[in-house]
This record gives sequence, structure tokens and C-alpha cells, in this order.
Amino acid sequence: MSHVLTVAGKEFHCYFKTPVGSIFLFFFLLLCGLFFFFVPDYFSLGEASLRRFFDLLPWVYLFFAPAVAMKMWAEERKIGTIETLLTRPVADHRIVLGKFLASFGLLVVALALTAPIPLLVAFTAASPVDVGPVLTGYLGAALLGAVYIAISLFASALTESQIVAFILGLVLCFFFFVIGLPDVVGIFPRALAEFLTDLSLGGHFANIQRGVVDTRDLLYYATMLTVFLLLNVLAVRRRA
Amino acid sequence: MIRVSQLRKTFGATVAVDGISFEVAEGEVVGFLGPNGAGKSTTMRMLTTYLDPDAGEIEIAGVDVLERPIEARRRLGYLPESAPLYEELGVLETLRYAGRIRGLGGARLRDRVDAMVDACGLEKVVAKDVGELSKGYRQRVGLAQTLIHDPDFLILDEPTTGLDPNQIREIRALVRRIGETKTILLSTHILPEVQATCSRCLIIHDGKLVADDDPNRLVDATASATGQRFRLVIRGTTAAAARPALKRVPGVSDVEADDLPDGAVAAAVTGAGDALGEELFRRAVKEDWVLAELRPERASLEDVFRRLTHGDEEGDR
Repeated sequence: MSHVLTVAGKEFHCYFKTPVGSIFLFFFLLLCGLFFFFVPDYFSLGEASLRRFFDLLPWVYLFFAPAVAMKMWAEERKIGTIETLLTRPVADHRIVLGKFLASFGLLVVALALTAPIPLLVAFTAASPVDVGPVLTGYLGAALLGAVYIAISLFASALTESQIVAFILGLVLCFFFFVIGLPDVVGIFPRALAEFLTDLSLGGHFANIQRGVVDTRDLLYYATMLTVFLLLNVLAVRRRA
Repeated sequence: MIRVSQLRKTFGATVAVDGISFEVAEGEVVGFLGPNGAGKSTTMRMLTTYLDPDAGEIEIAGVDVLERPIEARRRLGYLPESAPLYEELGVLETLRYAGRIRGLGGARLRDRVDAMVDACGLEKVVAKDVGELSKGYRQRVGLAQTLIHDPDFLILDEPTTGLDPNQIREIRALVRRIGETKTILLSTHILPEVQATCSRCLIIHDGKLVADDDPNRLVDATASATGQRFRLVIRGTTAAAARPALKRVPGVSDVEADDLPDGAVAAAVTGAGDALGEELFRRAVKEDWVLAELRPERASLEDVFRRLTHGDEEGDR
């Protein structure tokens, strides 16, 4: 465990050693705020609901997750530090986990920084805001973000170019998110449509957003997370 | 003790390492020599568990590297080619991270970091980030992080590549100092490096081991195989006259002679036979030349290298 934390600590520290981490956070908040308050205009909507906030998160994640994870492995390969890293007495999966925790940590920080949005909604709402769905909404958002990060980290392990890692991560995340949207699912036969919805990130997020924390959804996120972290370990073992 | 037997690695259709076997005894400093692409780095990457071999066995201090890679890594320090480092980390951060990931902590970590700063001469740059360092300092930081856990075995891939002569001398001195207490395998394609730092050298060519010996003995062997070479400076004759006269000396196979600006003749004579020097001297007396210089030239490791790695051309001569 201490190895995992050592790696995570170093990677998290690197986000803030350069302005990169702060820039990611800034754009995350900018996009969230912009879309929530101004597109469409929140103040003329006359409805104090956080639903739209949680609805737009998966879209903002599409850029945020691949961006924060793109460097993790691609850079190690590019500058050759991967050789030093993988010849130290630490099992590959611990390093993968460490890097995951660092990126996920940044995502949690980003989510925490959105706290003014629900607070503002609570203050401006005519009727009291229900705290339950807000908390489960954040829980769901964190879980969803974790899977996005795992997917993006896997993409980063496949290449030595950060740009390629970013685009690949974005495409993979988009794929797993979009296959569950009603408009997309509608064009498939019923049986396939149900399967796709079950497989998609979005479908399960919708459940949690409604305030229902179902073990099936939790199990789904845990499975996706495990699968992509394992794929990441395999991708890292593919050396040369 | 590092023991490697019948190591083999292919990349697609290319055979990078083709059945290499060798041993490095405790306390030895061994040079791993070969042209670029000979398979040096690939071999080192297998020794350090970065790459899995297709076939063969590797043992370090009795630990089977392929079966217990983590255990083997604990005993090893590996500096990959061009000393890759995280640009954004500070020098101390780099060393602390390297120490922590190897399980050091607390006072022990502080002591080791201090010791490495001291041993690798990093006092002047401790406050800097790696990205700001010169190539020489980067190499030193690389060595420092390789040594942080005080490993008994060191694998250094081209530790002096890309450095200027002063930096090369410093790194060599550092390696020699470290080598007093540790077992080192270092690769290079710079030949004087091996003569300067190593007690033994392994020469690899096209993935195969072509020599395994004391560097100086290899030089002697080359001298007896390709003949001896003498340099002469002669007064009282011209290059045109000296050339055929030298050529007639018993055992001489090749003569180069040039007129020097001060009227003397500089000649290089290659030939066989133990008494070649004496024969040359006798010839000079007979021709009534003044022999200003008669100096045997030792075959350099360069010659060894050429002989071993271009066997075909050598046979044509």
C-alpha cells in the first residue's frame, strides 16, 4: 500500500509543481459554471434544480479525464523513465493504482470545487433543496469520473504521444457514455438496446442521480474500474 | 555474482540477442562493449527485468531473475541509457522519490539522500529542478538515484554518452570509486572507457558474444594476430628512398612513409616477428640513417574491436 501512495503522492505533486493541474481545474470549473449558469440562462429558468448540473458533468468529464490522465504513461514512455519505474521492486499493478489515485484525486478536487454551485442553488431556491439527491449525485459523479479516469489511463498506456492518448481516451469515454443515451439506443433492436444501456456509463449514472444507490450500479462501476485498470496493467507489461 | 546463460531475445524477425552467456563475479567492473544496435541495451533490459527474454536464464546473487523479478530488482541499481528523469521534479525530490519507492523512509532516507548528494557532487544543484540541469549533472542525479538504496549490483547503460570530456572524466572517476565496493556491468561504445574503468570486457556484436577477456590481454592478442606496428623518425634519407628499403626488412608487410617539413622521414611499419624492432634498427645502421625515433605502437582496443566485429574483412587481407 505504501508503494501505491508513494506513486500517487509523486504524481499528484507533479500536477501542482507545474501550472498544468491548476489549468485543468480552472477549465473544468469554467465549463461547469458556463454551461450551468448561462447555457441556457439559469437565472431566467426560474427553477432551482441541480439536475442539469449532474447532466452536464459527463460531458465535461469527456475532456477533463483524458486531459489529466494523458501524461501518466505516454510521458514515461516518451522520456524513458518507464524503464526506471518498472525496474524498481514494485509490482506493476501498484504503480497503475498509484497513478489512478493521483488522477482520481485531481478529479475529486475538481468536484469539491464545484460546491458553490449547489450552495448557490440552495440559497436561491424558493423551496428547500433536498440534500439526499445532491449527495448521491456527487457520489455518482465521483464513481463515473473514476471510470472515465481508468479508461483514459489505459489509453495513455497504449502510446508515447500525449495527444494520441488524449484523443484515444476521449473516443473511448465517449463511446461508453454515448451507447446508453436514449437517442442512440433507439436505433437498435430492443434486446441489443437493453444490453447497451446496461453497458453504458450514462445509464447507471442516471439511476444514481435520481437518488437511488443500487448495488447493481455500484457493482457496474466497480467492474468497469477493475476491467480498465487490469487492461492498463496489461498495456504496461507490453514493453518495447 | 551475475550469471547469464543462453540469453535470447527477438523482436519480430530481428534477433537482438542471440544466445549470450557470461558471468560477472562479485566486485568486478565489467565493460559491455559493442557498436550501436549490437544488443547491449536489450541484454541489460533483460538483466534488469524490464524485458522478458525469449529463452535463457539470468541469476543475480543467487536470485532467479525471471522467477523472482521483484527480489532481483531489490539488489539491482539500473541506470538506463541517457539517464531519464522527471523534468518537473527537484533534485532532492527525485532522490527522495527514488528512495521512498524502494522502501526507505525517515532518518534512513535522509541519510541516504545526503550521502548521495555528497558522493555524486550534487551540492551546487540541490535547489534546482531536474529540467534546469546540464547533461553532466543529470547523469550524476541519475547515478545518485540508481545508488540510493545502496545496491550491490549496478547495471549502467552508456553512463558517459553525450557528455563533454570533463564530465566524462568526472563520471568515470565516480564509477571507479563506486566500483571499489560494488559489482558493475556498464555498457559503452567508447573504447578508452573500458580500458579506463573495467577489469574485464565483454564484446558483443550482432547479438553474439565475440570476446570475454581482460581489455589489455585482448589488445595483446590483437597485436600478435594482426602484427606489430612501429613508428620511426629517420634523418638522412627521403621517404621515396626509405620506403623500399624498409619494405625489404624481413617480416615487414606494410610500410607508410612521409617526408616531414624539417627534412626527416616519418614512417609506420607493420609486420610480424618478435625481432621486428631489432631488424628495423639493423636496417637503419646498414643504410647509414640516423634513427631519431623507433617506437612500438600498442594495438588499441579499437583495433581489437575492428578485428572482432569485422572478421570477414580482416580475413581478406
